[in-house]
Amino acid sequence: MLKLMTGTAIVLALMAGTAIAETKKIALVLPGPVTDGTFNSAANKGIEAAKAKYDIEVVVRENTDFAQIQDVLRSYAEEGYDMIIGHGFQFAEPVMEIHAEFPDTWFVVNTAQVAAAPNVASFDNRWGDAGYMAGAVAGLYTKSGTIGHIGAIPVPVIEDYNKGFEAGAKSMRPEVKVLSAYVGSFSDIARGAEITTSLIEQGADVVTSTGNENVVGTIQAAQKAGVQAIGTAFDSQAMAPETIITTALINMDVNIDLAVGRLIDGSLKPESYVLGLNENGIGLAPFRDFESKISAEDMARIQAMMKEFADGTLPPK
Amino acid sequence: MDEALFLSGLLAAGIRLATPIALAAIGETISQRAGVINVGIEGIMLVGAFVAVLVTVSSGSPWAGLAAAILSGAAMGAIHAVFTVRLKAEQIVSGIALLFLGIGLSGYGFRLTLAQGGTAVQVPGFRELDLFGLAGVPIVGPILFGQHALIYLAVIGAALLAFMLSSTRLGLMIKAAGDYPQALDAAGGAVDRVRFLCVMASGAFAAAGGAFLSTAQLWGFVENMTAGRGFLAISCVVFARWNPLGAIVAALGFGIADALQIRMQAGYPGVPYQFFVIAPYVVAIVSLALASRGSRMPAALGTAFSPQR
Repeated sequence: MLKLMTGTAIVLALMAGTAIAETKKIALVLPGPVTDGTFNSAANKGIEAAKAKYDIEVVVRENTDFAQIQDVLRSYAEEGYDMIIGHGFQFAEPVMEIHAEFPDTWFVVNTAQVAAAPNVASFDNRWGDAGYMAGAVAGLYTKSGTIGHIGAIPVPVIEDYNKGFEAGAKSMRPEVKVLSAYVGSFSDIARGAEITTSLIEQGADVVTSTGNENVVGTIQAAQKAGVQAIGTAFDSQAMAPETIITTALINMDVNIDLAVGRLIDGSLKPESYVLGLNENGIGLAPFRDFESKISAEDMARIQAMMKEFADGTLPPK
Repeated sequence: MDEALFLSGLLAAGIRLATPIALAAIGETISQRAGVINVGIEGIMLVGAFVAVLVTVSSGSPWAGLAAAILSGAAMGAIHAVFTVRLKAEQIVSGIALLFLGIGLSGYGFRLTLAQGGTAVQVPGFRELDLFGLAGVPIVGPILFGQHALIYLAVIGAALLAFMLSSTRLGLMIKAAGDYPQALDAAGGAVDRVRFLCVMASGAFAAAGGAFLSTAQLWGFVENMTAGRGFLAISCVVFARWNPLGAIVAALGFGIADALQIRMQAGYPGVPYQFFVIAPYVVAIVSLALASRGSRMPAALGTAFSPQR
């Protein structure tokens, strides 16, 4: 009896072993916690969706400091992971330094544009376009003629969004005043809220924010002051349905789905993939309650703008 | 009038930014006066912020949340006291352990409870008061009469503590425990018991500061939301020369500097934003350097007490 059981166990183990051999092992390395409600949550949701869709084994590592990145990447590569996804532009440099040592592992960097043969690819979203869309909506909606953007830290993607926001607003309303300030932190939501309050005191009646947890601070400050906000990255309108007009989506789950899908079907190339509206890398979330608060004429202008992004007339070259 | 509005907004924001730091600084003052450094108050603030949100959401009352936060803070303080007062462990080391314990407990607790749903929970937090119906008075109204209840409680608490330290027997015992514990011991006072209670009190105040962040200034918890305020509180204690009222003034100075840099940023888009962001910290460092001259630190601060018999 015991023999039989051991025999069955060995057979089962062997079967499991062959199954695992085909299963791709993927590590997602995040700079922050999966509970931040924006940047890191979005990546985590993306990898969860990929896990349900593909035959993969996933490990997620949170709160990775810049100084730890190289060691973390190295340890996953040494353990034989097929793909390591670094979530954030800060992963680009460490990846470039070590990728040549691990030719059997794919290194993928999100929100950066780097690539190197044979095994480095990147997926970036058109943050500037997302900012442009948010700015256009804000420019049309504002009654005071002043709008504001509160960024966490001026890293490249946030600066792109900031520039796009101003350009988009001015495209709809050339005389609009665009205020901008930085929190100096991705996690200090109290200061994010206070900065937002100060821009509201200076007349802003539509605000938007980029970063991680600080975005929540901006939305709460807008909610308390009774002005409007435009979300970023992650459709969180349920958090403040009377406050959030719409969300300039950065669909990080699409980045991850593409990376994993291309790894599995073998079509991943050492390139930087830049995802715009047509690739579903960015977009505008539904207006929901605000549908009725925006005039038909303004809505038509927003739709015309979206069409121009779709057919490539926008963004301005 | 524009200047007046600017000033009133500036001061109101400065007070809000200062409050969590002030509460933590009051607590740290008590603990250090009794001879125990607690560098872990950042961790205690985080636990307080988390517990306040959790209990506010489940009970529907921010006051219940505040009470629970204060209890959790006292419990965290008791852990520090067991190690530093009872077991005579190195105070800085125990404080650092407490810091990481607080970060871990609050983050893990958050994931086990409120973060489960995936969407943000609505927190029925504190609202600003309208004392005597005067909050609407231009400029001074919002500053003097339209603040959160916790802000008034912090000021009253600091005043009572200052009085207690300077003019009561208990105050004398606390100061003796921090300055010359042998004398307190010789006079029949229980040094370790005084220290233990003071460290628990410091935890309670720090947790109240965390609760202010998560249920008054904001309504919600995110991991690591204190963002270094616990450490600023420690520098306020030194700057204020271990006086609880001075600690409030120091925190207020920092809060107003922070509120000012926030407002300057949008006004001068040409100047790199980093110059503004560091301004409050520069103020803190410079004032520390100035204040440390001729400062009087509790003589037995940082050293465990063992009776010489």
